[in-house]
Amino acid sequence: MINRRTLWRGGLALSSTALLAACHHAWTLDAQDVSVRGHFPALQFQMTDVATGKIVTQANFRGFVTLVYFGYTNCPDVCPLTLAEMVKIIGLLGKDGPKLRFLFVTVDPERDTAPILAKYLHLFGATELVGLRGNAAQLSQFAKSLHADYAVHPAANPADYTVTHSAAVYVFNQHGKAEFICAGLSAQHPDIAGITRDLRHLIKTGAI
Amino acid sequence: MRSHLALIALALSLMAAAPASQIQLGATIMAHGTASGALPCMACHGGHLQGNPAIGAPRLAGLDPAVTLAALKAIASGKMGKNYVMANIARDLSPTQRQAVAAYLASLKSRS
Repeated sequence: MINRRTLWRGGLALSSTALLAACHHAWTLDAQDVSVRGHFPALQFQMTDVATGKIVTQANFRGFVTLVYFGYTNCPDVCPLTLAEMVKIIGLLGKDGPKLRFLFVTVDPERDTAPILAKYLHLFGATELVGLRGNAAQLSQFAKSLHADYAVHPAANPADYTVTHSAAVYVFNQHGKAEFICAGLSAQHPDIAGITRDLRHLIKTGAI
Repeated sequence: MRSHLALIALALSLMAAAPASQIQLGATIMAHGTASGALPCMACHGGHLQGNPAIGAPRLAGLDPAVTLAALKAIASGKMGKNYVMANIARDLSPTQRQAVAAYLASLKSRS
C-alpha cells in the first residue's frame, strides 16, 4: 500500500516536471509584444547611415538584435517618446544593451537631412541608435517589406506639413529573422520591464 | 566705507546671477533630458532652442526665468498647451530641475 502511494506521488512529480520542461521552451511574450515569426520576411534593406555617410544593408547588423522604426525628427509626440523609452530599455539591459541596434528610418528624408537626423538621435544619448536615410525607392521598398505605412504631405506653411507613419517597432534576431513587434513603446503606459525581458531573452538565446 | 560698498555690490551681483552649477544642470536637461524620463528639450525646440514652428514648439532661448517657471507650472496642470508629451515633461521636472532650466534659458539671453 505504502509502495503504491509512493509510486503514485512519483508519477505526479514526474508529469509536472515534464510540464515545466515544456513551458520552459515556449517563451511567453509580454502582452505589448506580438510575435511575427514566419509572418514577416527577413530583414533586407539598403540605406545610408547618417552618422558615417556610408551605405549599409542588413549584413552590417548581423550579430545584433536589430530593431527597426519608421519615424521623422519633426514628430511632436510618438517618435521622441519611443526613442526615450528605447533608451531607458537599453539602459536596463546593462551589458546586453550594446548587443542591440535600434534603426531609426526617416520617412521624411526631404527635411531630415543626414546631419539633422544624426544630431537629433545624438540628443538621446545612446550609441545603439542608428539613423538611416534612403531615397524614395529604398524607403518604400524597406517599409513595404514590413507592411509599414507612411505618408508625407509637404506644405509651404510648416504647421500644415503633415507626416503619418506606423508607430510599431519591428524586432529581428541576430540572423535578421523577424521575431516580434513592440506595439506598446509609445502607448500611455509602456511595459518597459516586460519589453526589456523579451529583448534580453532574445539577446541571450537568439530566438523567442 | 568704499570696500563695504564694493562688497555689497558683489553680494548683490552674486545673488542675481544663477550659480554656474545650476546653469550647467539646465544645459544637461536641455540636451539629454532627465533620468526620470523627461525628453531632451532640444529634440523638439531645436538645437539652439530657437523653436520649431513645424510642430508648434516655441522658442525657449532667452526666456525670462519667471516666464519659464509660470509656463511649466501651467503646462503641468493642464492649463496651457495641447501636447501631452510636453505636459508629461512639465510634470516630470522637479522644482530644482525647473529652476535649472529657467536659469539656463535666461543665460542664453545675455550671450546673444
